[in-house]
Amino acid sequence: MIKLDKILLFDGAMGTMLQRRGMKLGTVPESLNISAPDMITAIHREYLEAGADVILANTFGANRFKAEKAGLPLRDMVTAAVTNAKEAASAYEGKYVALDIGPCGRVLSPSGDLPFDEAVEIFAEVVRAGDEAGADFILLETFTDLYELKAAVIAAKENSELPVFATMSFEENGTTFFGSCVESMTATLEALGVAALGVNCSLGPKQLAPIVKRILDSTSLPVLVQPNAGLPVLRDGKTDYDITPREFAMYAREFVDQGARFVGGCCGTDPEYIRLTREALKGAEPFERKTTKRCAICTPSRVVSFDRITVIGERLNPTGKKALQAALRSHDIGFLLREAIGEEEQGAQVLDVNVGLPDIDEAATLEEAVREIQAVTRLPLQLDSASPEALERAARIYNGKPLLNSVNGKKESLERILPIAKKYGCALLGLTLDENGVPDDAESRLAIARRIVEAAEAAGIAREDVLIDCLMMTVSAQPHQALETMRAISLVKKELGVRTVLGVSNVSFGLPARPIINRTMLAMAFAAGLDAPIMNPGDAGMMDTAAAARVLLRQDEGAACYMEKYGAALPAQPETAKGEIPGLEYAIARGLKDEAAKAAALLLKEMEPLAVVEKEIIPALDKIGKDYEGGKIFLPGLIKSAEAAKSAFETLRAELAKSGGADRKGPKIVIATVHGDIHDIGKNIVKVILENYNFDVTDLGKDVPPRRVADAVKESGAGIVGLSALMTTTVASMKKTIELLRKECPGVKVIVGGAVLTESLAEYTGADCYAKDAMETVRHAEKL
Amino acid sequence: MAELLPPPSVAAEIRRLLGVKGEADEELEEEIRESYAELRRSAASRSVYRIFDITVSGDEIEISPALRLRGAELAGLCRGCGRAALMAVTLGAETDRLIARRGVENLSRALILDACASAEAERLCDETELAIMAEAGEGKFLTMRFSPGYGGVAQSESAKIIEALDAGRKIGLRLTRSSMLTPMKSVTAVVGLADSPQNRRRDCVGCAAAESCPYRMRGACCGDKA
Repeated sequence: MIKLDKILLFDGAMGTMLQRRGMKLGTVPESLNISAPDMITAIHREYLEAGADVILANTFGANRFKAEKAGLPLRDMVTAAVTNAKEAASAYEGKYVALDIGPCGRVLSPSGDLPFDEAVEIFAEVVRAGDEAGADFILLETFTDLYELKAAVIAAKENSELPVFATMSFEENGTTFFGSCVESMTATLEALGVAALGVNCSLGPKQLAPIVKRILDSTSLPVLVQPNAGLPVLRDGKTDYDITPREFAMYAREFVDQGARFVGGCCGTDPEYIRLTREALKGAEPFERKTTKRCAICTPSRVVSFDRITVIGERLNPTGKKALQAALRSHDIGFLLREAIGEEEQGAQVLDVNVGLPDIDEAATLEEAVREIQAVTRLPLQLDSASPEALERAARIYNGKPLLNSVNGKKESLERILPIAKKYGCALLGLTLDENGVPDDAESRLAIARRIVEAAEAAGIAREDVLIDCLMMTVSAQPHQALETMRAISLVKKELGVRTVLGVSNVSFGLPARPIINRTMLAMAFAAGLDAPIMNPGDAGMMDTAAAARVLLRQDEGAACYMEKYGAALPAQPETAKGEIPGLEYAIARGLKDEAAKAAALLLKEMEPLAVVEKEIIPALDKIGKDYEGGKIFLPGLIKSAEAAKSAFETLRAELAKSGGADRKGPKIVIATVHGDIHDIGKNIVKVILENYNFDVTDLGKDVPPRRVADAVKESGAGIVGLSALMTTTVASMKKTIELLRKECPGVKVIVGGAVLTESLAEYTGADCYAKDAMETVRHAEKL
Repeated sequence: MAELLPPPSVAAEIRRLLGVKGEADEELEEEIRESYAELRRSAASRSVYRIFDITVSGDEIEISPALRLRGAELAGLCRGCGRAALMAVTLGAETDRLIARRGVENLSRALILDACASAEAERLCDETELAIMAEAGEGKFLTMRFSPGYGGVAQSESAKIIEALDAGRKIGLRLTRSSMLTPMKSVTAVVGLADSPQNRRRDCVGCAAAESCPYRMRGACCGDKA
């Protein structure tokens, strides 16, 4: 087993050495493990001679795609690589061989099209082969997408007992190409349970210095640093580096003196660099670094630590929210996304996500919601479900380190939830209730909290990753309970030293003017030691209280945040006299979203909803449509108007729902961007225009397999399908989808569109008609 | 933020992508300026290029024995050139995220941002070409810039350009299984280095979109520069 408490020197570049030996561009380097084993072994030997303690098997790019390109079985390439390295190392004492794994070359969805579990499997194949071949540990390196790295760590853990080291490549600003920051990497990897972490490639040691410092400051794990030979510079027409090998060695020594445990070289380094580094490391001693452990969760680009008051947005929870319930039932993910963005803009720092409804597949929906929400907001999420299966699936595909809501003191809950938090690297919210329900007194709640914290620690979860919710009761029903909850918060903070969370607004059920009770309770809970209220960030009174509490609790240095928010003026909200509401037709024509909704509401005072549609909205839309087709307005204007009309429709629908009137939805249509295509802006434009013309649209999103389209048609009974493809390569996928529809859904009409499509290509796909733009889609759909 | 105003040629390209004929009204112009500035603030633009010795034979350009770009038009373009530059540019992953987020909030804004990003990627290509021209030296002339996915050249040829440039590691560029570039606002291209002046204007011969091309219907060409 590799020793983590010793300074170890890793080897230098493999690619650089292969190029020097004449490897041609386009060769799969890993194929040389089989075709030229002596050359590979010789390179390893040079590094071992230079003094490297660790050599990396030549497996960096070995994966199923490369194997296919090389025409060799993956297993054989990996086995040969590890065998070559072991053979070289066997001549020396105390050397280690790493199974080296780099990024797989594809991008995970939703940014790309690689499903998370497929990524796990791609890495798992390499891990299994390398483990069997006898590697001493696994090194995941040069990752720039934290999400892909998480998939690789999970693959390693699920398929091997070997220690896992993981490093990412950063740019000088401390973020990766995918926007992951240093502290997100350390938080996520540490929670996932890697043995060591760090940085490699991308820059020379000089530029990496500040990044190395940030890594050392933000993790208690052993740190590995493998810089490039320097930054490339042109000297006399030849590419060279900005520092010499000797300077490289000096930097490596500095990194070790600052606390890095392992150093080595990446691109451009060779045995000379390693020999000089070996010399420079003489006398260097490993030591324990002092780091403060923090309670933090993250996404790739945002770390939220709970060392100051943190607002957790509560609105993504269908309990008591009719509109969200309806959105979940009709699979309107856009509604969830708008709500998430809304909460972020109102100042939430973490978003709770709960999609629990008895009549939907909660696990699948939570997984999808988490993935889609993460595509549009940087805020970390609190995954909220009573179903362990839903929590597990969401925790697995979450990008970063989430907060799991929740575990409680029941034996069954602890047994089921703790392993999920441990395996997927989550912080954990513990509720102070158990088999006997919620105890009346603070001391008993503390006892449950203690049990949860101890059980979590025993399961390998860091204590600071556990947060406790002392539970808010309704004060109108249990008058003594508000005080008891506050006492419990104080006790938990004092006795256990963990962070606390509280769903505050429960307190005011059954009382008038609830906001007054809510914000007062919030202020008192802060005084008792509450760190993170779960609340509605749209409640300005509570947000004001949180901002003020940060000042009073000395969490807002110089009241800077407070001054920024309130310094200009008192937070008065003049509701009236903000200009007149324009007519609905005008609002739609000018594309004024909010005004259209208000104008529709105003009209509803004197007209029936249907009359508003027929007399106001339809004529306005007709005019806009004709103006667009006549070249008087352009696409951005058309869409603006469509969105304004949509917000008027939403107002009318809400009114219909209130009065119990049936919502008269028009013909059903299923739309999708075809499999393999990840561009969906065109499809989204078509969707909003179709909705304007009262089509009942089921939007399947982008990169949709043919099977899902056919199933959606059967399920919804839609008579029309709209398919979009942007690239020539995905037109074939459109054809396949239509073939399946013809077989399984005879009678359904198919409209196709998209940048590359033409009349003749549309004919080739077997579609019923081709629409050159969104308006033409409507015209065709109306005819069909 | 004067430096973030779209240069006239970029602004013209944005208008063209948005289907604006003639002048846009001031409201749209303002929105284009705002969107372009927002795009530039969030984009992490990167480019990489390298000049290779090439051999053109039949339908192929040989970069190395193990790396050949395939496609009649591409080979035709570089015929007679002893060298060619491969290039790749990207606006980065953050641009995709920005457009996705705005797409939820305000689709019209997302559309404008999308057009700004496409135009900006083109500008980045033009900028990269200047560097290629400088490196190519006196007496060399660049051919038209040619990207896989157009004409008869398969989109999947992009994989070879990415490999030759190590563009995954250098600028974070990758492909999906159907050979789409990610980040989405990215371009891979080949530019031949010829000994005589070249017609650098794109034409419609062999373009897959020629038949339904909105520019062409208007008597224009996607290669027109304002």
